Amino acid sequence: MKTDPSSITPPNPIFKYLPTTTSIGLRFAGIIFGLILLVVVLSRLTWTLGQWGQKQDLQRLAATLNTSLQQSGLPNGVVNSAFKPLTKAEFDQMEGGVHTVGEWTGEREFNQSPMLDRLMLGRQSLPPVAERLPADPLVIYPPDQNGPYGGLWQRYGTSAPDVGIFRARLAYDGLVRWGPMAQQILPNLAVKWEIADEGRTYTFWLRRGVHWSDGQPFTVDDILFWYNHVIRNPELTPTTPREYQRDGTPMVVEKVDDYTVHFKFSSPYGLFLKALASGRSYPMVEYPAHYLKQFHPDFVPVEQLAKMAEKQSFDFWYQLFEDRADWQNIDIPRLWPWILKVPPPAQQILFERNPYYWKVDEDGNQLPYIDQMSFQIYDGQIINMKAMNGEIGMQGRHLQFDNFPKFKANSKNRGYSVRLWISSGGGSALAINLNHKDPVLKSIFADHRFRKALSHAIDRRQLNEIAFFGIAQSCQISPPPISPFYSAKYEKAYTNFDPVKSNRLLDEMGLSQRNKDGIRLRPDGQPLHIRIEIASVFLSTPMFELIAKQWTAVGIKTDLKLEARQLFYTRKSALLHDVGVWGSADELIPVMDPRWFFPYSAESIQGIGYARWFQSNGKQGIKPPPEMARCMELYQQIERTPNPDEQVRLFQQIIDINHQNLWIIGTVGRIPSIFVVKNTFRNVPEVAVSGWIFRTPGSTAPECYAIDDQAKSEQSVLH
Amino acid sequence: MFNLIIKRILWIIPTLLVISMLSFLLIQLPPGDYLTSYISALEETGETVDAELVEALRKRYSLDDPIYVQYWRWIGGLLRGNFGRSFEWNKPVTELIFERLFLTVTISIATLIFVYATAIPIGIYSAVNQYSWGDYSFTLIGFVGLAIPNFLFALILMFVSDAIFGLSVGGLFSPEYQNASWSLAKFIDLLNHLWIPVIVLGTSSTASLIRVVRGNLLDELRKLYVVTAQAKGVPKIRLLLKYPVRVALNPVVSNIGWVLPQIVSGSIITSVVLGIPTTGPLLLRALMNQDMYLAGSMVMMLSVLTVIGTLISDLLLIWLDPRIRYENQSR
Repeated sequence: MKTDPSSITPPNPIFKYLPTTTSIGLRFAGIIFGLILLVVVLSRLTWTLGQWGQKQDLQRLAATLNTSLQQSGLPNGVVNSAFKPLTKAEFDQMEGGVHTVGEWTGEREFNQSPMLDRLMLGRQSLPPVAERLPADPLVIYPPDQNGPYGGLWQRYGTSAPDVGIFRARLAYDGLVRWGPMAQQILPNLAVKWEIADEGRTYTFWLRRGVHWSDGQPFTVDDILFWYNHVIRNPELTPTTPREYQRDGTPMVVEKVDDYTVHFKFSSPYGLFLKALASGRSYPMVEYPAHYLKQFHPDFVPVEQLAKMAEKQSFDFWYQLFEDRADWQNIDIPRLWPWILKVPPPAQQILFERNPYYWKVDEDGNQLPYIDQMSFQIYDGQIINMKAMNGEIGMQGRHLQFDNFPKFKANSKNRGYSVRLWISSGGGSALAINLNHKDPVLKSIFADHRFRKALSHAIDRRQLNEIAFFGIAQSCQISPPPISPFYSAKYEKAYTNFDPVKSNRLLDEMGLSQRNKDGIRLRPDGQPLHIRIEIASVFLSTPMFELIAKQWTAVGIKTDLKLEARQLFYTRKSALLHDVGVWGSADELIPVMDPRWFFPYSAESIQGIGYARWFQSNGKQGIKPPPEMARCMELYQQIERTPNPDEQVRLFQQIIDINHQNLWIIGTVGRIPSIFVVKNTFRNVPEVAVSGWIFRTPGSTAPECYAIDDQAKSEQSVLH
Repeated sequence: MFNLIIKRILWIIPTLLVISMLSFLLIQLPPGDYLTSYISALEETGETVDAELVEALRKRYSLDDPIYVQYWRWIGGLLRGNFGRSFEWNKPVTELIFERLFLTVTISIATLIFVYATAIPIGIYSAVNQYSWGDYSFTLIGFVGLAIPNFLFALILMFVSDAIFGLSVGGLFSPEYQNASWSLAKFIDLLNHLWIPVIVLGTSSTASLIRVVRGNLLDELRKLYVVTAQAKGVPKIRLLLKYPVRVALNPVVSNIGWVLPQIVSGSIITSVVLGIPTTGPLLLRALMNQDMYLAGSMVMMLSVLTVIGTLISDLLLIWLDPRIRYENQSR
């Protein structure tokens, strides 16, 4: 039943689907030819455009870097030195530009935000502002100006849990805080404190009459509730954090009166105040006893709690308790400058001013100045685009250093500025696994000459050009120059590119035999092959590709493996990696987290087995070699020493031992942290010290940031 | 006929059971568990985590149970309508999914309408006017649409919307409407942002659908019944729509089975790039963090929808195409 369609002529040829056979072939050839032409033209075009774009990018990069270096009008030419780490002397000379704190001595006449005036006119009943503030409110002297009130601070996060850093990095309201320059510890909820018994007893005097955001008074009883019923409750806190105990004995918290509290330790503890300033004192004031008692079995029968938990589809009472104590709960009273109004999983998470916040400026204006803070949830790349688009109020989190030239290039048109804050760390660390399971590799890794040879084999100038536009510094993982713990000798030790020396060291070790590819042979005759493992959170992988090449050049065959951070975590915990890569850890105050100076915690990927030994006081893990054990001993001595100068002196000895052994290979670092700040924002420092232990920007008092729309219109007139 | 439908429905149960086992296994397969990703995320911020605490947490989340115990707990909850809680969000899974479902369905249906409304008429036009200039230009546009990766297209349109129209980058609402209640202004704002994902998601399926409709219709047009009908003087448009187009749409209908889960899952990559809060990015994140109850429940939900979608498309085909109907009846 086959019919040749061309043989039938329809009565009325309405469908033009019946081509003649000759034209099919012709047209087919035509289409093929056209497509080939298209491909050729398109590829040519993209090639040229790409070349042109690259050239443009490089030129623009150079231009923006130059202008940013030439910018002036800042105290002591700070921007000039932002790329070049400040020396301690230069740093100490810098003054102004950051907030300071004091105590209120004037009359009890205070002002509040117009937003609260409106609220009080409406239905909401609030006591007058003077009654809401404590007897002795903390005074913050903002760096630029007082006020004005109002405005919305736009920020972005990558997920709801990511927004949870609000409590650490934006509220950051514990008993004490680090100052914006990270040199001193400032009073916060505590007015003053005293260290007695050689560091066994810490006494804190709290502000009198501070209120939770629901108007209930905050007293020492809330701290006691946190310690006795949360930290000491094995279901809520399975293990007491290291900072709240000495040699396995938990500290004792004693109430002297409503506003005076003792923390007592069984043996001297010299780092407690620093720990409180960093991360250990804001959690202790996040548990309002009057609210949370209704969810705790010490106060309510367990059966009743179990029923409440089940109703909320929890299996256990402590899940309900944790859920109620979590930042995502909008009912829990807080001491924060802003309290949660619209919780996750909303797309825009909103915080609003706390009418009971307990800080004022010198004119008696209740802080914070900014009424609302919003977090929108986006992918990290989009957040970077939002920054370039000027849609961010003030933020540094999730901004990538690689984008710095683009941030800079857009800042004029989009009305924001890029601030470079001094970073407390120093680049990425290459950690060689000293607890390797392969005995041959283990004995090679244990030789300090091997590690020094690897360090000399790295051409750090080349890494710097490739990954950091040439503005980073070669350095080992060491305290930065502005740190009291700084050691110039160790910072630059073994950082010069010297393949000859590197080869000599390796030959001396007995690794002089090579195979036909030039790869050195291990004592067992196998080629020496190591692998650098990187968690995929690190973006500058080209840098590590270079390192792998440079190590291969001195006869150690090296390859690179990029893995999901979960896999990285699993492999490092099982001691399976050869060389692991991770970032530095606030070496500005290295006594807080000395993970790179000796195996201290599970993050010390150079020797997790040794770290287990240290953490368990020799009960588990692998016994470290004597020099390493000496470092651990010195650190324990530091922990017992409240005197800061003595801490520095002892830590210098740890650094000296590191200088001899070089357990960690540093690359390039001292990269400033980027913050994007809208031009309307006031009181954001040009320069501050940035780091996790200072919870920046928390250490710069975000509650005194202000949004001045007046200033915006002035600036737009100027341009 | 009736028997066939019953049989189809009964087959759904074992299918879903196997799917649930496989998906649970796949989610558990990568090394580590939710806790490893939780801890490694903490470590990224600089926090240190105690090894003892990790063990305690693992017990608490019952992650140290053998896999079949965990599976049993999960599937038992599912049967009772309890989807479990997401580890990462610390919220019931149902709440998380439904929060995002509305926007997801809005985008998907808008996309679907866009695809059908453009692809079917163009396909018909191209077939009827084969090898005309119109056909060639639609073919070219269609191939370009097929060839451009969605994420690239999304980035380009995002740039265009920002540079030319001055809209805020990403998302479906401008910041000021984000938490506002529904109003005309908010709706217009939504429309302003909606066109990008609709076009991005729509182009490739539009392009392929044009090809499908065109090809099928061309086959039909060559058949003798068309010639006969023409010879009998049936008006052109009526002839076209009543017979060949109806047959040519068969593959479109059988695709509905895949369309249904797509409506709910949203296009993951496009949503991530554009920053749209659909269920796609939620699923991606859950899988990456091994948030197993959330990921498992979403995979299950998508599977159920695929199975139901297939059933619906079967039924539609039976209704649409007499040949399938008769074939089944004769058995």
